[in-house]
Amino acid sequence: MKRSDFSWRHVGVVFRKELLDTSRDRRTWFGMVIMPLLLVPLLLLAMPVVVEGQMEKVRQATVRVAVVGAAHHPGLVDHLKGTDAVEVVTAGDPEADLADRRIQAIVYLPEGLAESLAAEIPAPVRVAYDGSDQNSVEAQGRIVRALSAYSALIVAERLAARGMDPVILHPLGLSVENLAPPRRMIGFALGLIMPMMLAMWATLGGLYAAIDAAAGEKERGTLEPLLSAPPARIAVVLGKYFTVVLTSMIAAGISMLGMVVAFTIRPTALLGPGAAGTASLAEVLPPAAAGTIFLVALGLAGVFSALQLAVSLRARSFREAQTYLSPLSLMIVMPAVFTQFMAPDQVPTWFYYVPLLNSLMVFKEALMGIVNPGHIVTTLAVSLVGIRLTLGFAVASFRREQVLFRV
Amino acid sequence: MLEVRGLSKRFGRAGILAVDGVSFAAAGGEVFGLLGENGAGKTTTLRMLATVLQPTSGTATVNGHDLVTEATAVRRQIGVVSSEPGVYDRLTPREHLFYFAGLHDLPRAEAGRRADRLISRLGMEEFADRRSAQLSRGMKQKVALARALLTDPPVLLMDEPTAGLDVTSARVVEEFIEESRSAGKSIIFSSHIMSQVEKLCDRVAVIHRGRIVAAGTVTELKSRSLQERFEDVFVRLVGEEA
Ligand SMILES: Nc1ncnc2c1ncn2[C@@H]1O[C@H](COP(=O)(O)OP(=O)(O)OP(=O)(O)O)[C@@H](O)[C@H]1O
Ligand SMILES: [Mg+2]
Repeated sequence: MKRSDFSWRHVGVVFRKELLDTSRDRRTWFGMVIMPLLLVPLLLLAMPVVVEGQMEKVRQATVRVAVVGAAHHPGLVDHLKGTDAVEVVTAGDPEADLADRRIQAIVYLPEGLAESLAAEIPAPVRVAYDGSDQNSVEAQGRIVRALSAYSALIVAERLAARGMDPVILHPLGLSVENLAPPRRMIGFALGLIMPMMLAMWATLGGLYAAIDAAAGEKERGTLEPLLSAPPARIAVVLGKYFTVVLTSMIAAGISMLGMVVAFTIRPTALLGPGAAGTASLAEVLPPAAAGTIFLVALGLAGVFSALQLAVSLRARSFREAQTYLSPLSLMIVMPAVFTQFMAPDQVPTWFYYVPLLNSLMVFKEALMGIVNPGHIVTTLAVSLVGIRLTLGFAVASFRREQVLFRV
Repeated sequence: MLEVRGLSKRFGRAGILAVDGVSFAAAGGEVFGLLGENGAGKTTTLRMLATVLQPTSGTATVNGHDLVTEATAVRRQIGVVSSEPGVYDRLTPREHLFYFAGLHDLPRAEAGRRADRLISRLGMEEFADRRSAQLSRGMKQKVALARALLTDPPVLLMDEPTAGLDVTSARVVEEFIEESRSAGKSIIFSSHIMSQVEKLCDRVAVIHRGRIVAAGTVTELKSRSLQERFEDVFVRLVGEEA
């Protein structure tokens, strides 16, 4: 096909038609608008509340403890009984009860414990719990704290008997302070969630548009009249490609909007424990960060839109394309989960040369207020190479008649 | 208007020759029938003429343009209709026509005039602005006919355009073909229904396993054999080859 057959006007005609067509597809709206708009605030606002509520419930719950050898030191048992939210129970078979979650911990007191303590001889006290049970883990902590407090009481008595002030046990008046300003705390919280969201919508937001524009067109028999019309195949591909890119970018933009909405509703939800104050949106998302996020998302959308179009065209039907493309979401979520807790300024340099991984890291940097021009440029350059390759693949697919007319 | 010379198509490197050295010509104002059984090579031939498949060898001249070296120019000379209407479910027929007008570089005002004219000519007023998903097959095929005529091309390629249509809808297609012939267009019409070919076509080529086994006017083909019915002529020709 001659180069001169190509016309940007044709690209525009195909683009406008695809946009109109896809905007009338409910699936596009669901994937492009509803999902990102709901999911992001849900993750940012509701998740911390739910997790916090769950932890609070565990903290409030009374734990049941069996003491084996209670007769060896009734005083200690009384101390446990006097501890908040701890209930001391008798159990015939404590280990079976622990396994069945009827009790949350077992305390083993050795024979002659009272006498050992009186003689100031160290004695072993064992606490058993079930590490697979959240409530049992909580019970273990509570009991260890109660026993330590009891230990401190004994120490204080011993010191007093020797005419010493227990204050000498605490030479350091310890206090801890979180110096991270609210902006950094918020950036950190956003950095845990938003890179995955942005990567997901920038890549998958246009999935239905891509399937529809290639496999869908094939399945409904509209591809043949389209390809016997004058536009060069590359113009057809580009028109479809820009539609998919735009759809993905709208989805990514809406997930950012969801973030802004969540932030505006409850800025403190993102602060995390031990932080006070708040930050303005302009501090959290300065223009440079927003611009970086936009460009990197565009690079991701550019690569994955072409890939999705090409793969979709190789499928015989809408459903087949869906089957081929559904592992893609895993391909994106996995690196996102893998890197969720990594600090972007501490990962090895090669991360910034790996597609997707680099975008995830630069999203995180931008949200945390880190500007590393080298990382941004590398990531964008890698995306450009990716676009060149995947778009080339898509155009080649649209030129292969075995792909267009598979029987 | 249309001249096909030794057109062949092989699918895959070692695949079968789906079309094997087909040659024929159709003048303006002529309906040329391609008659063949399932798998004879009708669709493959028409797809090559529509430039969506590349010929393995041979070529054609479409209104003065070479099929292989001037594919884009050829696309501006043809209108394509097949048994599959190929309309977009989420567009209205009018939007569909505007889309193809844009692909053919028709100015918008002109496209609007032509769309209006075709909509009234094919009796599409009632559903021209409804989403195509709700349309019947016959209605969709009218959209396809309108699309093919939108640019007023000198050559129409019609691959079993009445397949799957009821009598009334098939009648619309047949009238469309007759009108287009009167308008001086060359029409290549493929079918496996003898009566339809007999009724519509000025000249016919019988295609079997990718090759033309007989060609001429319906009367010529009939007179060549002593048998009366065209259908019997066809069965005999195909039988000889097998
Ligand atoms: N894309 C393709 N890949 C491989 N073989 C194909 C392809 N398209 C058609 N064929 C084969 O080419 C031969 C001719 O097929 P074609 O579709 O042209 O026949 P047809 O005359 O249109 O038949 P029908 O009446 O069933 O529509 C058949 O053997 C078919 O299996
Ligand atoms: Mg066919």
